[in-house]
Amino acid sequence: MKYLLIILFSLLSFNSAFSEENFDNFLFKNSKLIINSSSKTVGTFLEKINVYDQNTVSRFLNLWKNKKLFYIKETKKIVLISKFDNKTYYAIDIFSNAKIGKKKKKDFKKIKPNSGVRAKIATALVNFQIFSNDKNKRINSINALEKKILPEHLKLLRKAFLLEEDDRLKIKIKKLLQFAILQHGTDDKEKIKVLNELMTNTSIEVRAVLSKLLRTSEIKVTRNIEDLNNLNIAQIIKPEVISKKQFDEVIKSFFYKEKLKLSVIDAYKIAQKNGFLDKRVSLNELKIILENNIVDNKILGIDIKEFNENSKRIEVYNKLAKIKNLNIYRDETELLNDLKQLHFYKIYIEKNKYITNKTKQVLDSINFKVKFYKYLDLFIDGLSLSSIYFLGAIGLAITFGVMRVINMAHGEFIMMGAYTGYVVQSYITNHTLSLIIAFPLAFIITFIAGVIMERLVIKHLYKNPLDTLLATFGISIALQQLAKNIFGTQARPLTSPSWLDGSLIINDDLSISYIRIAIFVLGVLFFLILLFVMKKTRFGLETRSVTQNPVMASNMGVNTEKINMLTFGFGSGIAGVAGVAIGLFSKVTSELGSEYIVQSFMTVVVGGVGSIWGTLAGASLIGFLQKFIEWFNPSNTLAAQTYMIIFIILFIQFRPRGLIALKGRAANDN
Amino acid sequence: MKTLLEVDNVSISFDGFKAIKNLSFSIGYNELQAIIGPNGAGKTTFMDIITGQTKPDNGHILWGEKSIDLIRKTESEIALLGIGRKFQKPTVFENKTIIDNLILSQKKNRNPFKVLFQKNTKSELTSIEKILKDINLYMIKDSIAGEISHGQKQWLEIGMLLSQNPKLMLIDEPAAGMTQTERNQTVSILKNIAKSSSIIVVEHDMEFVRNLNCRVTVLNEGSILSSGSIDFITQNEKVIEVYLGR
Amino acid sequence: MITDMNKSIKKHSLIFLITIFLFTLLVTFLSEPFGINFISTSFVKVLGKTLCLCIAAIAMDVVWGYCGILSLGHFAFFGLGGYMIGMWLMYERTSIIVLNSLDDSQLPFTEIELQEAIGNQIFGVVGGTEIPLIWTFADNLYFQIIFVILIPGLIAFIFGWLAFRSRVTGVYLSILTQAMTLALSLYLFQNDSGLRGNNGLSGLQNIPHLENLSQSTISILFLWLSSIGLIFSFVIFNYIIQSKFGSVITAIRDNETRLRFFGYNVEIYKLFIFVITAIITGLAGAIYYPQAGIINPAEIAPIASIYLAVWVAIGGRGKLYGAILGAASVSLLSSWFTGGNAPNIPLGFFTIEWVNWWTVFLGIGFVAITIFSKGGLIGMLNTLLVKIK
Repeated sequence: MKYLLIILFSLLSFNSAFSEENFDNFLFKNSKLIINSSSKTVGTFLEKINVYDQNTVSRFLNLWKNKKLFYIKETKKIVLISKFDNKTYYAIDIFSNAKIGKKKKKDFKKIKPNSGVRAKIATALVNFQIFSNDKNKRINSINALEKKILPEHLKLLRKAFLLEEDDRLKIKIKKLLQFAILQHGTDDKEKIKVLNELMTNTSIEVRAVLSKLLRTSEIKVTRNIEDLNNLNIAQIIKPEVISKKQFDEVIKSFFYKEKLKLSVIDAYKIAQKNGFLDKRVSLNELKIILENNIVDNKILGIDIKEFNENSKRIEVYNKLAKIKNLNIYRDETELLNDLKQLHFYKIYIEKNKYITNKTKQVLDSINFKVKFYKYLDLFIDGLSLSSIYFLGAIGLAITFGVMRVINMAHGEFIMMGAYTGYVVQSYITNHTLSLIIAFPLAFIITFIAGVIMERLVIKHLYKNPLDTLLATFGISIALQQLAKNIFGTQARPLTSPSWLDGSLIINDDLSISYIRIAIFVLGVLFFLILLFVMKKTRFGLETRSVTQNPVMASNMGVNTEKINMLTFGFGSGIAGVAGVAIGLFSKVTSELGSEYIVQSFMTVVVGGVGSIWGTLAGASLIGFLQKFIEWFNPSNTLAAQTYMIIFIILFIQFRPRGLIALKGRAANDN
Repeated sequence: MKTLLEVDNVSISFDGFKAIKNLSFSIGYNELQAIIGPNGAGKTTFMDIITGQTKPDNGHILWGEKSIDLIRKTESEIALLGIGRKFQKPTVFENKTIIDNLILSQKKNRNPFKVLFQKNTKSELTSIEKILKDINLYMIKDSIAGEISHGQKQWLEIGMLLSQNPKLMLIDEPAAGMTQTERNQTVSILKNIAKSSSIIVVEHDMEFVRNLNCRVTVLNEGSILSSGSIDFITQNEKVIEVYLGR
Repeated sequence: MITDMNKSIKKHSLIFLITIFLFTLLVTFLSEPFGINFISTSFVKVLGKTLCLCIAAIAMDVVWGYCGILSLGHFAFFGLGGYMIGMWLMYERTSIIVLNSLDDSQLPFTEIELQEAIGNQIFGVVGGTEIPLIWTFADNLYFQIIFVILIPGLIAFIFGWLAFRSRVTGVYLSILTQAMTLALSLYLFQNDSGLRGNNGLSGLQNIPHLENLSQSTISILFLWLSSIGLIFSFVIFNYIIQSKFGSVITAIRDNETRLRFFGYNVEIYKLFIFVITAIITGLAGAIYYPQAGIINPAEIAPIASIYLAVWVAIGGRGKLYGAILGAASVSLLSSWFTGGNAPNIPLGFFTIEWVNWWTVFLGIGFVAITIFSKGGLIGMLNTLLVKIK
């Protein structure tokens, strides 16, 4: 209340005393109209107030609409009130904000406009504000209009469009005017002109307005087909014998094209409701009637044990129906016959066929564009998923490629990286700074862990890759449980810096979250760094030589043992860095790694062992494929993964060495 | 002389490197032939192609009287047709006993459902014992193959070939790592085998090939340089240049 | 070795048969319904389940220890076997309950009404009422038993045929088998998989038509069934590995390329072993899950199959006894330690709580065994015996 009063006070100072006086008088004269307002009477009143100062009137209307006004029973003067004590209130002048008397609580009465009145007031308010000199007020009023455009706004908007001088606001008003014309206009030619103008606009609100034009009636029924001639028919529906399951799967191509199917039973119900056909006994009703007629476990002398078939039930029911004068049971094929003489249809609420056709055409062209953005969105989705897979798999690809060693604990290195990020963040609260520290720290920690593991375990098992697989699995479960013991089972947060929140909005159908962009950039960065390390450094050269032919490399003086150790550390370190990145968008738990491990293996296997390009190819294939399959069946990501894995198993049939394979004799011994 | 195996105009390349160029070669029934050539001449690849391990880019390999093309066959199908192979590095099943190695390679039905119920008949055991004696391993027949000497492994692998009883044996460097006595024994074993089946021996050692006293083909850079008796080819200048005169 | 195989097959099988028989008899006499009530019903079930895991372990040993295929997907077959028998158990029991729910004032069900009522009972949790097509034969025990064999066998056949044909070997094959079991478990996790999504099949411990028997009696019945299953699979596998076939598959493990040049179609042998072990594993699952009472897709997650390999490795691969020793000891110890029964070890500055630390020690111990003792526990035992002699 106080707040409101302050606003009122501040507004007051702008206005001339003259108009207030006048308006005050005007109100006093019309106080009965205000107090006992109804949606019928309020209209004339609202028209009359046009002549008064806009600010004053609009303030008054706001108060009225928001049920803030009271009147003094005795004088019918309209006032605001403010509490003095439990029983006594001040009367306060609406305009001067001055206390003009103290009266008992019961002497005041609240003015309660009903919803119809309030709606009219709201319209009038818009009217006042849209022409206001204050630009902010105009913006506010237009924003208010945007939510719901009423028929009476049409005139207003036309006028506002002509008068508005601000360019941006004018565009906005034009949009609203277009919508108003489509929804409430009476001139069909004008509507079509607007439809043509909207052809290129793909925004969701345009689509919503257009689809409103295509609203249809409920299903109607007639016996006479000529009845349909002059109607704007949306769909003629033939009743079908369909199972419930089929009915659930009504194909929805796009919201307005929704092809409706009608089951015989439902059609019969509609026909019956419209008085075309008699009431029908359903199988369930028939069963209940029979059960009500059980006497000594018998119905009409027949043992109820025999009633385990519908044919028997119907037979006995029909006998019973004759005796008791009930409707005879008719089955679905008979019903279908009855329904054949009837026509079921839906019409468009819009009566002009030309307009609905034009709307469909415009929507089609919009949908075409929307589809394009959908594909683009899918593509970007695939890209970011591929980046994630690439980050997860690249460390594995390096160790697998160089040493032919499957590291089942790779996922746990990812997890270690993510937990490193979490721990750093719990000491350094600045998220950007903590990330800058976490990335190299994660690399160092997992690098050391990798080297230790290589020295203690893997070194002893080079001859037998399968044993390495199992031994690293042992490490994996130990590390996972260790993480559980240290950090607990609940998920730990690794929060991304605030500049990574939100997304890049391109239009209604296409927005890319910054975190996805960051992951993609990180993926590209990784790729370039690795490419550089592998192609341009001594370490890379030696690593590649060990990849291609370990024996030869060793003969050429490459210290294969050292290379193995460093490679393993390097691959693990990369996993750690990837872990920090992955932790940013998924929960950090002890199982984080195992969620990515199989996909990472798939990526390496599909891509081909021993090349960064191969991993890139594998990650792209798997990432895009998964999104593509999900797109086919959006409700079910589990099924998408299943199909993807089956695809990979089949893929291996045709390219057992992956997309980008090493050739020659070295590739043969795995 | 009827042809057992005819290699017709076969080529293969790895990543652009032509390992075998338009090679043609043939061997008759019960014939012993030797192939020599420097390292990288394509000898092992040649064997890989015949036995089906590597598929050539073009050409044909025709087998036996019915001239079956081996190119579309798998390794095991080719082996079943009657081609046995001994590897350069002796490859025996090191966890099994000598006699088990021989039983494994013995010529018999290879259908898994038959193998499941296969028993060794007396006559089969006798023939295996005979082979054991031929390859001088009878005394140690129950030893684990991984524990015998290198030379003995070479013999065991030859024994396994004998037990397989193929029509054609491809033998890659049988004398590698053997003492002089063992070499001589190997020569006599091979000559003995050649009475009942055809043999292609790939060898490095000229002296060993000379002792075999058979037709010799010289391979170089994936194609045939010369072919004929050992005396004939040792007089060929090109052969002397690329092989002998190193 | 092969020469005196008949004698050795019989000797091994006989010793094994007697041991397991005596063990089962002992448990029976210590149980509640047939003996002195020393062993609780739940522990009898644990023992029965352990025997089933032993079956899966020897199958795993044959496929990995003998044939060299490290399958990280064999537990999928175990689960499939469980699902197949679970379908009958659940359908039949629900059908009995539904039929009993009728009273005299109601008409008997029509076929469709019955299906609907059963469907509602079973699939209500996943928001369905219709009985999926794969349940067509769920009312018939014999069909479902055939499926216990057929479905794991068929899936193993298709997968194996594809994988072996393209000569995928080594770690590649392991990863592929892991992908197979992951695909299967993800598929089953869906609500519209037709097998109740992540709810799985439950109430399997209540055997239809045996309602009069107490759970303690049923547990003994299944203990015997499990023992017979273990003996049966041991005899089969023992025969296979001691025969010439066994010699062939170990040769495949050691050098499959060489074996091809002797005319063996290696792929068919691998496929045979892959399929037969899948079938036996499936059968083991079919005996296991009625004792466990519930099966859900989490059971066949990739980790379960890896654990199977871990058991075999710890016990000692390439020896059937080793697989049994590994599966029995590790699974029993694991449930003992993680069940909270094991006493904690106070170290003064730190207390080792087994519930939290067992897996860590298991992992480290497993790594140690892989590095230092390829023969596993059985291998260590043998070396020890040799030293004593």
